[in-house]
Amino acid sequence: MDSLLTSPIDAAQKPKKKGTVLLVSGELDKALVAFEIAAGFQAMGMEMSMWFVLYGANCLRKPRSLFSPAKWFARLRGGQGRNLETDTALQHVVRGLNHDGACHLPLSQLNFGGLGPMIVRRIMRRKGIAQLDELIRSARDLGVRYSICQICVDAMAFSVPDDLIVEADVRGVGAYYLDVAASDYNVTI
Amino acid sequence: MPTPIDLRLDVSGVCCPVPLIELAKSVRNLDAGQTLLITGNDPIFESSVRDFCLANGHAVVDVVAGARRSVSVLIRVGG
Repeated sequence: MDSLLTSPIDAAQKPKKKGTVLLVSGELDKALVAFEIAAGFQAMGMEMSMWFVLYGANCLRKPRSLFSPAKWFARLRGGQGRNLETDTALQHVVRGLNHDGACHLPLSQLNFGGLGPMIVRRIMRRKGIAQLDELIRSARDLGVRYSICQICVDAMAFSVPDDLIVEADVRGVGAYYLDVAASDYNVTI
Repeated sequence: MPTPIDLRLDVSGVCCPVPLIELAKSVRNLDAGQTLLITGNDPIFESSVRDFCLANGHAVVDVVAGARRSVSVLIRVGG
């Protein structure tokens, strides 16, 4: 009985455990798993840090209309981590063709040209499962730290923080190493 | 009196992991207490070098911003 009484106090005195989630994939199912883990672990008391590289950063982007100039042309004033001297026009094509926003991501299987994600979201709504954009915001509210790889930001012409729905830091592999070295849990999705 | 510099390294024009790779190669050939001046223009260059020093026990002696967004960081190699 004694140990039952003392153990929660011990847990509170210990330094917080840390975890890292690295999201590479830009697909709805994998992004859902990543945010489910990050938000759930943070709620359980772990200090989580999420990293986004390549297409993984797509789920943090603001959804833009096909006819909006902001979809095709990154603001010329740049943003965090951008090197405008080495920009090319092709970057705007890549940026425009990339999926933007948590509600525009494809599925890795059974995509059916965009019908699959609609069906999955419908099932999730019916079952009361949190949607990806809700998970992104609730993980942010719980205190998950978001970081985006600087070379991806520069190469894909993301203008941080203009293009993102949440606050994120632009950092590099050295910072990722420090995060991982201090972590008890690390996963790459 | 300015700190004597044992080795100069210029990594301008390359980005994220390459400055760290070059830095790690150069630091390997230096003894504890020697200094290295590394210059680069990667947008996250300074924080990368600071993270490298924090992870490997080196000291950042000085940081100087130069022209065209280049940054020079003076490092004292740790033991």
